[in-house]
Amino acid sequence: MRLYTVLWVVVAAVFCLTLVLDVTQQKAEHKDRSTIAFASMWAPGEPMMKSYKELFRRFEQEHPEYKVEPRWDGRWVLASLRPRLLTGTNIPDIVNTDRDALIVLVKAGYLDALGDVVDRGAYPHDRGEPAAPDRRLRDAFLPKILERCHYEAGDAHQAGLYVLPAGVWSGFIFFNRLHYEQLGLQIPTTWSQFLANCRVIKEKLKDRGIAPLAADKDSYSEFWSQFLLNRTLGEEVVQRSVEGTGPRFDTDPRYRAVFQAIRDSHQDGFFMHSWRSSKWPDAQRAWTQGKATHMISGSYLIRETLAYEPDPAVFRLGAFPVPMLDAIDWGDMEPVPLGDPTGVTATIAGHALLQDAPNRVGAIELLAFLARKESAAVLSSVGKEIPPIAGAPFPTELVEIQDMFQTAQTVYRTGFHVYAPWWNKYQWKDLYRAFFMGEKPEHAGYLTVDDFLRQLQERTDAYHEGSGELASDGRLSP
Amino acid sequence: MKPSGKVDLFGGPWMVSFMVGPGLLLFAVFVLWPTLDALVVSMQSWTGFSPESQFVGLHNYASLIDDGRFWQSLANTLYYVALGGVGHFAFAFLFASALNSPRLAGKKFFQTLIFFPAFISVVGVAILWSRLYSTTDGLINQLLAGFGIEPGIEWLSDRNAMNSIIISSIWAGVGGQMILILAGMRRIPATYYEAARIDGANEIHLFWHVTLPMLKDVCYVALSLWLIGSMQVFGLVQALDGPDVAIDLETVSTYQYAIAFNAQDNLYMMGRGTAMAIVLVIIIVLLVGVARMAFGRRELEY
Repeated sequence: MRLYTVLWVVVAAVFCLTLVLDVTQQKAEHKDRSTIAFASMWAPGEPMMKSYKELFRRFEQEHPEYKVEPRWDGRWVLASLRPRLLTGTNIPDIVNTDRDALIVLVKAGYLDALGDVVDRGAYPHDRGEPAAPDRRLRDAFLPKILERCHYEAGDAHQAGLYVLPAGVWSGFIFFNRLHYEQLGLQIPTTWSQFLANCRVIKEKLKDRGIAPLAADKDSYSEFWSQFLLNRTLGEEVVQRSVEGTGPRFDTDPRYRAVFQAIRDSHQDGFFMHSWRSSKWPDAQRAWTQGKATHMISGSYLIRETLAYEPDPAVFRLGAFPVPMLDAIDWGDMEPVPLGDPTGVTATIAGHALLQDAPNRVGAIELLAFLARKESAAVLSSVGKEIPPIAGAPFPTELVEIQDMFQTAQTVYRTGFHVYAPWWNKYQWKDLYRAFFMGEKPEHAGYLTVDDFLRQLQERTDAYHEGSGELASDGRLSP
Repeated sequence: MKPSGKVDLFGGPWMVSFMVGPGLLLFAVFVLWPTLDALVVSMQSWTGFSPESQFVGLHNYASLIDDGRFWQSLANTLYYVALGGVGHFAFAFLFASALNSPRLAGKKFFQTLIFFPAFISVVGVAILWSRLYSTTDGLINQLLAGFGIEPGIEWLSDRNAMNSIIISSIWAGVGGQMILILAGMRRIPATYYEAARIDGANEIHLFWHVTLPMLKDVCYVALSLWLIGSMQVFGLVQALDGPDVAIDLETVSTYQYAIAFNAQDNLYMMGRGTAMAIVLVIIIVLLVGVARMAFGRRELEY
């Protein structure tokens, strides 16, 4: 019996000792410095994590009174934040993830509105620039991108700005410049030119095992439709169609033109061999090996390709915006102007301030520091992130797109899940996948363009008849 | 109490409580309370983030009935359980029989070889097999090409992916079942086989009429473990097809994850996801109960 008693005492002692050590260590560390806790969507080893580490080092140099404590949670940053928010323990000061994912925190009332913060003075020194005491922090950002960081009011929060943008993922058609140079091709500005380029590549490079389009089965196929829809109809019109108040999918010639264009890109020999079975990131690896010319993706593709260390003899990265449609059969409809040709798609990664941030003052100082052009330049050069900061340099691979991006009049959202999560999950996803993957009648799930649009409209009608909830705060089932 | 009237702290009920108490406490805190809480959550409309939630009664359960995707995911899961189960047990019996054979040399080596994949994490298995299945530079299609089979098989196309996932799962999991069955086989007294041989039984007779009946309890345990594990299949499917799992491959667990946690879908329906989890538990309990009835309650003694 005595043995068990001793055992229990030992276990209890070890437990208490561990607890005491843990608590005292937390308090003892940086006792002369104020800690800023930063929960990030980036994972250890990623280029963006390296960029942030460098920025935190510079920040601490300039502010010896602060110590930034990052937590590299990766894409599960919100999942790992959830228990801390619910229990109110170890709440970070800043959370870094994408604007659309943060909707859930905004709606739950966890985030602090940043309207006042952007009205403070900008961070005092971007080296090499004259002092501008009247400059506000909001002036640091591209206005259209900052505008997209506003959220509508909800039950637990007021309308306002809740995220300061730190990086943008925009979608482009990436291409291998070497193939274009070898064949003397011009960057296409219309869909017909794009298809014509694909035909030339297929004819001239097929013998070398090079396909015009690289694709995996599971990634980015939606980009084709999203970008073409935005360019052809504009995002607001598409949103109204989804909400049942806009043009119908099955009758509006613009929808038919968009999906016919997608079908037209599925010509024999355009997509790389067996792409329907290809698993991410096989396609992008093959693409960097020079086995295909184009690939649609987000701008994060640039940093992902770094990992493959592509051979410059077979691969040199370039990018162009998804071309505008130029062959719309308007039928009985009076032609209307297409979407904004200058429009860009943007998923915005940013920094949000927690309402219960333990170190609000330090966190705001860090937010301002991260909005400097110099900080954006680090994220751009090391992390290959498109900067949302006015005048900040782009990643060198996207330098041709810099002007277009910084002067874009329209900034589109990426994906239906942002404004119609239910519809996206239940009505759109599997139907579009069947349409995209089944390019020929012999493929599983094959749908003609007309069948696809008819079914999409039927699903949308049924969805609204069933009082489908489109907003992400509508919690009742469709 | 001792005859002297003093309380005996080191014997009787005091000691039992002292020994059992911590275990019960841990069980209550880490199993009982979360289970009851899950029941409560399943009757709420809750994002999982907000401190506030709304009680919706059985709405989350009722909505599953009308949810075609849920039924599709359940059908996919049952397909995985059934076909994967046949594959797992067929190979497990095959390997166990071979390893139980007195004529096989190098048993330890083969045993280790077959069991080895069980040490690899699910994600590791998925990465390994996604490389093998790759249509661009995968080893399997390259081997097939060596035999003149071109253009190869689209292992991970929506149509083939579930079967490919099952193959990977058999590779990764057959070792566990094999060990159980092998342990059961080694427990069977040799005299039963000797008696049967004297009666003229060949190897097939021995397997059907001696080995299999004597492994009833082991088979029940192995089957129960398979049902519990495979009904919750998540990692392999998510890692081999994710992050956006196709509707043809979606299992109950991946679907549950998509609507409760997945930022990609932006749904955050913790209540409905939890209701799904509870329905899944009920189905698993029912299946294990059916297995229990099928294998009989009587324990074998020999």
